[in-house]
Amino acid sequence: MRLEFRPAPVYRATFGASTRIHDGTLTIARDELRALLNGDRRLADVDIEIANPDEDCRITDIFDVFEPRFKANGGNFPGVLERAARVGDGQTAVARGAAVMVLNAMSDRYKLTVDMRGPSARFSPYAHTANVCIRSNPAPGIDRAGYYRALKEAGVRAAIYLGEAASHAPSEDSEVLTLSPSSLSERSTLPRIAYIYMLASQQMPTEPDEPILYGDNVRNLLPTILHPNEVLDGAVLAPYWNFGGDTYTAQNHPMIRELYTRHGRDLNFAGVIATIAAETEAGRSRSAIMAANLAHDTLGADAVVLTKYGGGIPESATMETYDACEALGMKGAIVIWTHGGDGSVEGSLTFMSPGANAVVSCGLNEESIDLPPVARVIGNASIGPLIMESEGETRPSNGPLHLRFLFLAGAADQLGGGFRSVEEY
Amino acid sequence: MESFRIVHYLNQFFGQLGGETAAGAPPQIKPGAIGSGRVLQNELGNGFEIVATALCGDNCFADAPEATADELVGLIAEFRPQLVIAGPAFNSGRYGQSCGMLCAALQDRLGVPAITGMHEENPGVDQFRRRVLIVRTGATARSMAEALRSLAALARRIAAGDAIDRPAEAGCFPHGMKRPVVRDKTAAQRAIDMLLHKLAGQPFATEVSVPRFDRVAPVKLATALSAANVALVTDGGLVVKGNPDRMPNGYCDRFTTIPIGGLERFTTDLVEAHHGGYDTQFVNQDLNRLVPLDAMRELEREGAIGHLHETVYATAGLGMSLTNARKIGREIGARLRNEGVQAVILTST
Repeated sequence: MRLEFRPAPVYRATFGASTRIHDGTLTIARDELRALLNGDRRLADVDIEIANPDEDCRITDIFDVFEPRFKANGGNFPGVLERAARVGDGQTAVARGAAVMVLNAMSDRYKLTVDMRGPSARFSPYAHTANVCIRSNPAPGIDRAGYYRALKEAGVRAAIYLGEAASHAPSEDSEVLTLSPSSLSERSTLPRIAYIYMLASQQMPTEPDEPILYGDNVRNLLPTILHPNEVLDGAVLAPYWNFGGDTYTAQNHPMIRELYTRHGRDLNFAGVIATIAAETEAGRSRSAIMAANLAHDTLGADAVVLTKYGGGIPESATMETYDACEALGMKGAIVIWTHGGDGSVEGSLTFMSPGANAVVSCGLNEESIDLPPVARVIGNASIGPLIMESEGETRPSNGPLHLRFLFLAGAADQLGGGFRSVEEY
Repeated sequence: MESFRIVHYLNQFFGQLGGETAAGAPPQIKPGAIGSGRVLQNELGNGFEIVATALCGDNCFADAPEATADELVGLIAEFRPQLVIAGPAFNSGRYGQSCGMLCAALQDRLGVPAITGMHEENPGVDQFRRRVLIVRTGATARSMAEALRSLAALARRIAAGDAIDRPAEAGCFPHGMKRPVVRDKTAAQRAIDMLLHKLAGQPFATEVSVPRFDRVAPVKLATALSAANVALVTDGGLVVKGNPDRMPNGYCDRFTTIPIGGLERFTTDLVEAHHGGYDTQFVNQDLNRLVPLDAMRELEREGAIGHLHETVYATAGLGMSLTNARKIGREIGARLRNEGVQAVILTST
């Protein structure tokens, strides 16, 4: 596969007569985009708002984030609005620096927030993107699953719409990502490293039409090999239970990006194995064994790096997969969050293999940040209750906010993009 | 300039009160340095003064640790120390216990830094490392000179205002605690770095250390199962309908009880699952899926078990610290034993 990204840089967004990108400004025809999204009868009261970097503005109730992309020959977020099509190959236009944020009007304990300035900006990539926010309500009679499906489609529609504008803008420097079958199998003195990518956790079962991998809900996904370009080119969407990485994160996958950067220099990128945290113990064992076998016997990996998605059960799934890989003689390293517990080094994870000696922390779960009040809010008037908060525990969205990093969009990146960690002392 | 004031603590032996026969000696304090304290004074050098030496027999301390620590804190306070150095205790269990306890008490009550030294096998290390800086020493007093050198070096750093953020780098046992940090590489970069080092057989440092695992040997059932009183326990968040005990649905520090006397099976008007870590919808359709009361009643009728205990103990096991898990486990275990239970079935989620 040879993927060519053609990025059109965006530094700010504004509303205007027609949608286009010029000199780093993304101009959006608000009515046109609104009309496009209003065509979905599951959604009511659709509106678009914009938040630019350094504005005195907070975006709340974030359901998912998308990078605007466009593939002129089709294959735009395959399996969601259109049938599955080949992605990871050919040209893809990118409005780089812009993000589509879909907001969720329903109550949900896992909604994300971002401030466009202030102390949290260094922890969130979305404080530095020009954000196009889609607000809506569920139409009467639409249930949660129906609304969430419609929100995903709205995000994808807007991302394609803005991505198309990028395709007409001049691209400064295109970027080619290629990992051919020959480099996948070639003999090299560099160690072959495979990435085991947990797409979702079934501890909260996905909905029947929840689009995650080529539109599939990965409810019973068995480990499968993906080309890294497929992930970067829109084949993977974040689950409805967005807990550890947005669709934007998958499109700019930090681990895949890092493996690509070091491919041919420090290592030989052997490929990606997609998996899930299965709901049952038997399922987790099955996934662990199959993922390890794929890495060892099909990709010929010397070593694997693993990330997890979701909550606590994926900790067991990750450890079991790690053990299965090490049992085959492959070395392993894990990126995983850390529980605070009583502050001691005990209980950092709900489950840890005795052999898990190479573990990178992507941050302390309980850690919070204090955000100052803001002049403007895009989202509901109140925030909460979030997970671990009591029923009725809400606060005004524009006020000072004591927020766990888990709910700061992009700051609890379980796919490896963050700088937050823990230190044992 | 006035010297940096240090009080030194020693047991009866190192404080020259006597051997085991003097182990009952009561808390006392004497001006100036005594015994190994004189060597310590030399190591510390100019600008430091051991203004007094507090003493106590190991048995006296062990018999009434809190009262003894209190008394010693009072005696030491009168000398207005800026730092207290206890021991070193090497591998002596009672002495290590006393040194750790006294250091912790001094820090808590007087706000005075207090340090000690022990061998890694001294039980006092695990007991006090979280709160007290403990210098690594050899096992016996044969390594006294080296131990005093380490203590003096640490004392000089503390006197200079060093907060000793990383005890291991200062020759001490790590506190065994963790704190949030921001690193200069992403998690992905660090993971690949770590993996490449591991592959090359080069040293690497994990960010999350493997905990020590407790091994619990299964107990042999003393009675026949058909005569045993069997209890049900769960961490799946079972609560009486409406959660009257207000049990949290995660990060739990308590348990709740559900009376099941005379109950054939759980029904949704009586109990519910209150847990933030899994999808409770299927359990909440039929709570016997979480705690198999219905099946246990059948076994009871068939005579497979003697009797089903009339109280179910439940907590919500989500993000629970090991400290709380141990505390809850001990309390539930003690109550079950008092209530005459011989066997327990634990159902988890």
